[in-house]
Amino acid sequence: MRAFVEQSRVPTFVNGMGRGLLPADHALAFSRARSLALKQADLVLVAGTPLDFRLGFGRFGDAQVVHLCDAASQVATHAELAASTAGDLASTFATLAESGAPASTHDDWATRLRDDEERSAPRRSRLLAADSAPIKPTRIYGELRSGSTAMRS
Amino acid sequence: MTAAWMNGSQSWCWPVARRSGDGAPARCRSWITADRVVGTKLAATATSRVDRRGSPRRLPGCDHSASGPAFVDIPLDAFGPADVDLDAIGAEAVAAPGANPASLRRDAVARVAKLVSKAQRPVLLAA
Repeated sequence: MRAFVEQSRVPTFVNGMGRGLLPADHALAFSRARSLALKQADLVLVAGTPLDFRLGFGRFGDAQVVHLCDAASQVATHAELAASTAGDLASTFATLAESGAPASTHDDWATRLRDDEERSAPRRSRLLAADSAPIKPTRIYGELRSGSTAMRS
Repeated sequence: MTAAWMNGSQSWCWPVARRSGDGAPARCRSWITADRVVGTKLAATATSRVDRRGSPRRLPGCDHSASGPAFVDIPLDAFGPADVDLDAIGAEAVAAPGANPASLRRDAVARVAKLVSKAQRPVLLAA
């Protein structure tokens, strides 16, 4: 998947089950700009997860929707799909990487999403370092992040 | 839901909490919303009334063992088959349905690649 994302420069969001598919600090990995991305995207590729209520039943504004599944039985039938694939997802992404779009095609789009993510950074930093009592759950993440950063260095 | 380990149980329960000083008990959305735990009691289990002889076990600092949060104990194994023979399930049943790369239709992938190359603002959601 990473090869496809990097080759085609497609901004990527991962759900809980997909965590780790792309490093969180990767230039094309996004999380907090999801709302903007899904509102303004003209093509949404959904891989490895059903188009259920968690994904608005596969409706993302005017965007075309592509469903990448590991079996034909998993392809959404209730959503209007521009395309779909059924089969091994690693092979799917490998094939896509071989025939993807030229690099840098979507860099302006990725920059817009990154700007949106950065706008929320100050608020996020405050929550990660919140010193309130009872403790804010975000403080736990903040402590874990500084701990893992220290372990890496 | 919160764990019923406070009552010595290994199963899960719904907390029904009484705030310190409040008249009526109120079910909490979160354990944290209780101002203070003044006591604990086990109201019932999913399958039977509680044997009062063994409960409640008082929490440290509780004012009254008969007031405060009440727990309805819901043993998870009361609802599902806990005696499934996992060894009887064949490997083919747990293999990923698309594990065979040969099952992939190349024309479908080519169509997706074309859409990606034409898109101005594509997004990938992966899970």
